[in-house]
Amino acid sequence: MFDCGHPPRIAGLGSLEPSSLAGTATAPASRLPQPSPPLLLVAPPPMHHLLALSLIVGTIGLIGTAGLGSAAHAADLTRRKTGVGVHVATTARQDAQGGLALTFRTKEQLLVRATLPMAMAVDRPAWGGGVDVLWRTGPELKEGATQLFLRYGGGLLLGTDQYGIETVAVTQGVAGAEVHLAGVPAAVDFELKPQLVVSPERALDLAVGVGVSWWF
Amino acid sequence: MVLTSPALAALLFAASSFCGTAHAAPGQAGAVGVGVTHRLGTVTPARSHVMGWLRPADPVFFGVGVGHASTRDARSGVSLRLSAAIDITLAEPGDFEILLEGGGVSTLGAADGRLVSTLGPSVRLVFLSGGDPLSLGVGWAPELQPGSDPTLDASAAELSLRVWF
Repeated sequence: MFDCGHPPRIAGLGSLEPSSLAGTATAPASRLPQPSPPLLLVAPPPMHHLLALSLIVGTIGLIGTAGLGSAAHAADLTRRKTGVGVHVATTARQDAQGGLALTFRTKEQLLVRATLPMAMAVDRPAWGGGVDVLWRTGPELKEGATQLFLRYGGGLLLGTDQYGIETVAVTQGVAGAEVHLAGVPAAVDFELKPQLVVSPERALDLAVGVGVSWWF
Repeated sequence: MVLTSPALAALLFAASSFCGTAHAAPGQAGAVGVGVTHRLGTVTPARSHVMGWLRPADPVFFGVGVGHASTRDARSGVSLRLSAAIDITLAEPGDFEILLEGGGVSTLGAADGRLVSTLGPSVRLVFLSGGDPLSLGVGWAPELQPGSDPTLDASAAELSLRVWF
C-alpha cells in the first residue's frame, strides 16, 4: 500500500553482482540485468514500513494504557485523562502539518500526544504520525474556571511521501500554552515548535501550531 | 487573575504594575492575553505568530509575538511581531460582544540570512465570548515590506484567536 507501483530501491545494487555485470560497463541502464529474486528476499524492508508499523502499534498501546486509567471522568476538567481533537501547524518553510490528536495525561502533569494520521507537506505531500511528550505546569493563570497551563517538551514526526518512497522525519521541541475553557470540557492550545527536518533533506524550521481537544 | 508560576508571575506582576490594575475582567484594563495570529497575503506567504497581549488601559492594548518571518522574497525565518491597537464596542448581542479594532503591526526578523521587516495598519472585527474569555478577530492587514525592492502587500487577511485573563 505504500509503494504504489514504484520499484523498491536497493542501495549498492551494482556492487552486489559483480560477475553478472562484467563486460556491460558501457551498456545502457535499461539493458543491465535485473536483480535476481534471492537478492530481493534478503533486502531489508523499506524503512517507512517499519516506521508506520511502529507508530500504529505504539498508538494502540497508548490508547490501551490511557483507557485503563480513565474509567471515571474527573470532576476537575483539567485532570481528565484523555483528550481527543485536532492539531494543525504552519511552518516558516510554508509547510503544513496537522491531523487528529490524542492526548493522554499519563501522570500528574505529563502529557503524551499522538498525532495520527498526520498530513504533512514537507516540500511535497506526505503523511505519517507524530508523538510528543509534554510536561505541563500550572495553572499559571485563572479567570473564573478558565485556566491556562504552560507546557514544554519534544517529539518526533515520522512519515512517508505520497508515493511511499522517501521517509519524512522531523524532530521538534514544543513550548506552548494550554487553555482549559470553563463552559465545556475542551482545551485550546497554542504552540511554538522549533523543528529539525532530518529527512528527506536537512533543514531548520519553526512551526506555529493550534489545537482543540475535548477531554474525557 | 490568579498567578501560580514564579517566573510568569514576576513577568505579569511587572506588566500589571505598569498598568496600575490587576484582577481585571477579560478584555478590560489590566487584562493579559495569549493567542495566535495568522496572516494570509497575496504576495507574501502565510505567517503565524504566538502572541502575548497586554491591555494597560482602556481602550489601548499591545501585543508581542514570536513566529515566522516570511516576506515576498524571504522565508524560513523567525520574527518578532509588535502590535498596538485600540477598540470600540459595536454591539453586545446576548452574552457576546462585537468590537471594532484598529491599530498598527510591525514585524522584525531574519530570514534567509538577512534582516526583514514589515509595517502596516490593521483593522479587525472581534467577537468576544461571554462565557469564556475567548475572542476571535478577523480583519484586513495591509503591509509595506521595505528594503531594496519595497513591496506593498495590500490584499491581506488576518485571523486572531485570543484568550484573556
